Amino acid sequence: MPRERTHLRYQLYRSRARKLAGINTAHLQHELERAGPTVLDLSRVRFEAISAQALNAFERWDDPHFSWGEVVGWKAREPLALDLAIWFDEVLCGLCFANPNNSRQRIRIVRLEGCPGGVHPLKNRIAPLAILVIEQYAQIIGSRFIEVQEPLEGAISIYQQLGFYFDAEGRLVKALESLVS
Amino acid sequence: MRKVIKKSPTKKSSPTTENKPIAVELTASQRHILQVIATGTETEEPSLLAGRP
Repeated sequence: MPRERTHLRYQLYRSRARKLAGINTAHLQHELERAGPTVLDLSRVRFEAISAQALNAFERWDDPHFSWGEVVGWKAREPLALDLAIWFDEVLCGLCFANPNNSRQRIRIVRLEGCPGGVHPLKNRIAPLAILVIEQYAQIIGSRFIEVQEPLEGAISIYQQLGFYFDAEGRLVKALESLVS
Repeated sequence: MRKVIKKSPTKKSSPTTENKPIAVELTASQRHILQVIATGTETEEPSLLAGRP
């Protein structure tokens, strides 16, 4: 398939995954409000691509671990990759880059970072929000596993809470299921 | 000849449904993730979650 068409097709898939995750969090907020008053308003969470606007907001992060500007080049080279900026209104709270392998059976989370230092509105929710979008994307493109590339020691228990485990080769993975009818 | 009254082609949405979130079919895993989103992670989330700087 021509590269340009692949680019467009996967752009649509990425967009759909982010949109579905947004619908899910909005729906969750609706459910929480029905149960009683809530502190956090999840309807203000936005899932976007890593755009120029996201990179501008990233410039205001204090002492980040990565240089996310590099992702612009990666996006051009990897048409199947998923880039994700997690916003709470106008606050950039997290950035993620995940890339499927050639067979698309496995998606690797190459980078995931929350806004460093201090407290942002989505503290302790960045990993699950990112995994929500990645799972949607995996479902769309037919992947069977999500793998965390080089997870930080202190983050492993968070991934395990989200259903990840170490496989026989010592990789931190999550097997994906099909939709429950 | 009688005048034909044309209906507006724009579909008017119901005010009761327009702000209602759309339900999406979820896997058990996605439901679990949403639960964690609602409560926050059990352990303090570090800012670096994956990848080697």
